[in-house]
Amino acid sequence: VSGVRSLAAALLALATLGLLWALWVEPAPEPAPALVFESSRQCAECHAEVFAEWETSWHAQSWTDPEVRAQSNDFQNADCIDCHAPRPILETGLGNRVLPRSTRRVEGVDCIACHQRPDGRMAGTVDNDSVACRPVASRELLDPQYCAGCHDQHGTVQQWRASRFAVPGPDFKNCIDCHMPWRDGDPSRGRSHVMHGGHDPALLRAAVELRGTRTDGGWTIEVENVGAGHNYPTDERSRASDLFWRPLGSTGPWRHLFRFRNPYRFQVGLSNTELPSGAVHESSITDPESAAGVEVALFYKLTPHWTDPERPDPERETTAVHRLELRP
Amino acid sequence: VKRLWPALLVVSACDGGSGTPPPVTLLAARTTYGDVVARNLARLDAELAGETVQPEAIAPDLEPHVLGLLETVAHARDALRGIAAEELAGLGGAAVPVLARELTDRGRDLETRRAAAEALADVGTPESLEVLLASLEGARTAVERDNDLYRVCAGAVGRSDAAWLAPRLSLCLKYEIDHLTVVHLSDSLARLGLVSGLAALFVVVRASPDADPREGRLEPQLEPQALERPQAPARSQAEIVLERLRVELGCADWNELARLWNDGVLERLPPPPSGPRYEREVWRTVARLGEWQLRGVDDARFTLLQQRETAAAILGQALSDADVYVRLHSAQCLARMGPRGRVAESALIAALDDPQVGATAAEALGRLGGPAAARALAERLAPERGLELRTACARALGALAPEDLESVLAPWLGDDAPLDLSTAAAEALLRSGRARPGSTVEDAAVRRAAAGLTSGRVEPSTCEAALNAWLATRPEPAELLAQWRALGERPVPERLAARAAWIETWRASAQSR
Repeated sequence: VSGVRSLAAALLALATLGLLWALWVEPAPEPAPALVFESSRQCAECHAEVFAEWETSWHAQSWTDPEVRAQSNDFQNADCIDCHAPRPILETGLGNRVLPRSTRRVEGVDCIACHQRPDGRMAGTVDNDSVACRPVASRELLDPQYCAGCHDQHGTVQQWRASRFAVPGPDFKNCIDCHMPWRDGDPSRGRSHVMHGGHDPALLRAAVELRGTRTDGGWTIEVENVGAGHNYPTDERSRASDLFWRPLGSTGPWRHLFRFRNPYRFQVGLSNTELPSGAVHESSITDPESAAGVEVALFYKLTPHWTDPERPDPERETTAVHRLELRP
Repeated sequence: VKRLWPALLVVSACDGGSGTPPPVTLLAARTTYGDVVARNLARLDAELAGETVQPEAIAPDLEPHVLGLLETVAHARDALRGIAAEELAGLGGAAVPVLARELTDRGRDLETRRAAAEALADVGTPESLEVLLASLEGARTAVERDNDLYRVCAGAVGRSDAAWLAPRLSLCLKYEIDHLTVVHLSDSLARLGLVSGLAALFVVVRASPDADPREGRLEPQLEPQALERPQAPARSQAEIVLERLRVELGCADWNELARLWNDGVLERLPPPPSGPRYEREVWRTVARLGEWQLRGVDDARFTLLQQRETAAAILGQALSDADVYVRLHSAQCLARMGPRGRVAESALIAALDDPQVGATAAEALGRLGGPAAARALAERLAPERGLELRTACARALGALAPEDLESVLAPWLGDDAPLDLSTAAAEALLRSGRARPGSTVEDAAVRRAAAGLTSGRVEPSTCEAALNAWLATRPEPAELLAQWRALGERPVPERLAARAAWIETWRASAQSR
């Protein structure tokens, strides 16, 4: 009998504890109603800082940028639409080529393109059912394959795989380490969504080094890809980087020395001269006018064309990456 | 316990009515797709297996004989040359391995290599033509083009009437920069039923003689026999080909010729290329649509959109392939093919319900569809359909401009409709001229398109183009239209804002009238 009493007392105590627990415990959050995202502007409501960063990014301008409009003939070249207004990456799957969308194209490569999952939830850094976008922690956001759907069209991710930056170890860096760094270097502040690249002079300067040495009767100029985990330049065939020189002290026109670029398909006879990660390219200046010294400069161009191909004006039409004055 | 407790509560309260709401499904249920491309390639490979000649070892006594004949063709006087060429051709496929080797041997003198190219064309078997074609396709770099052999190959291969050459010759034309070779390729394609080289021929005709430094430098005896005036430079030869086509197809001028092709007036064109070997080449090209790199896809797409009915029917079948990229790019090919691809209309209508390809199928129907397509597109404007598809259908309907377009699109012009859809509907009505002048529908369309100029949320250039098209049909005073045109000279975004304001003024004035 005492055993039965003890059991009953224990059960009663347990029930009381359970009741107290139930009263004390914070109720589970109500799941948020499923929200269909029709525009990335909806994201700004909660993610104002990220949205503001993205709005200044080239991803946001991938549809509206006048340069793109001109080169794609106002997107009459429909092949450009796939990557300039893509459907969600996770809809086509990691590493697969993205598909073009018919709506809200002006939003370019937007929040939805990178974060929307096929189930309507958003790929993010935490699981949370209680907010409108119902994020799901998604490690794949860190994966270079995420970028590959567009950026590997011209082999950028493959170039990274072949570089020292893809080898696990102290040098390892993937796409987001350079292109989406921590805000103010602080991981607790999350990653920047400005996603800077070839438009950023600081990033360009960190990618390559320019050196020159005196050699028999002339100069040897070296360009080394020291910092980019892919070719320099990479990705788009419209990108080019040109090496120029002129006699030291001259303010006259620059003289072309070498072009780093992967040509368009129809440019029969041209070959790919992009500089792979870690590679060095040597050029020689043997012109007698260089004897008293030379000024050498490496420029970066967003389009391969010069206003006047006979007299290219890099100062006006490009970004200067490095300049060098060499004296005998 | 704290972690388990909510679960216990859920279990205890298991009434099926709580928990996370069901996920939003972005994609509709998939239709069943299959390995259409692989299956057809396997079928055609099996069908053609009996016709394929396996390369044989060269008979020991044949090789010196072939080389001797080739030497005669390359270096002897005309009479002997003709006899030797005839005898070489008579050897048929047995001579191909030796001729192929001689053609591709860079150590050989050019005359012998040219003679080998001509002899391969005379033999005319699939194997000999394959050698010529591969030689032409491979000649892309300056080193490979340090002589005129690629041009001789183009002329030689063009003498064949083998339909299966058409897709690969089409691709050669895409990259060709030598004007005379452009003429050879365009001429060959026309003889195979594809008048797809017209644009390239027009480029050659319009080019000044200075634009083609190689013009007129070809030795007369090397000119392909297909061209009637062997010594004429590329531009004259292009004119000859265009003129011959004009006469053959009964056109008043070259522009009519271009219209026949671009508008797909198929009954007036020569018979299209066909046959199992041609179909296999088309299917092989369709298979390339599934490649990851767009370079290969773009080549395949270019090749396919230069084709005609047979290829269009194949592209229609490919819309059921399991590979989404094959389906997507097949629909794109048909869109770019335009009216020549109308045999695929019903397949495209079925593809409207493909969640990933539907919008592209709608675009294609806008280019080639008839009344059935218009009905199918209108049905898919319904709210239960995805916004991507509805928007694409509205645009496509604008291109088809069915008579009932106003009533079909009017429900989607309001502020309660999704912005992309209402803008697409407005553009469609204005471009097609199907909105009755002065009607509330017309006003709603104009208002919506004008809002799109400055909203920053839809594509302003298409709104502006639609307003331009609409104004061109309005009986407005000339000075009013001149104002609108003058605003077009301003830079963006000032131009768009000014034009939006102009439209608002116009609407106010129209309403008061």
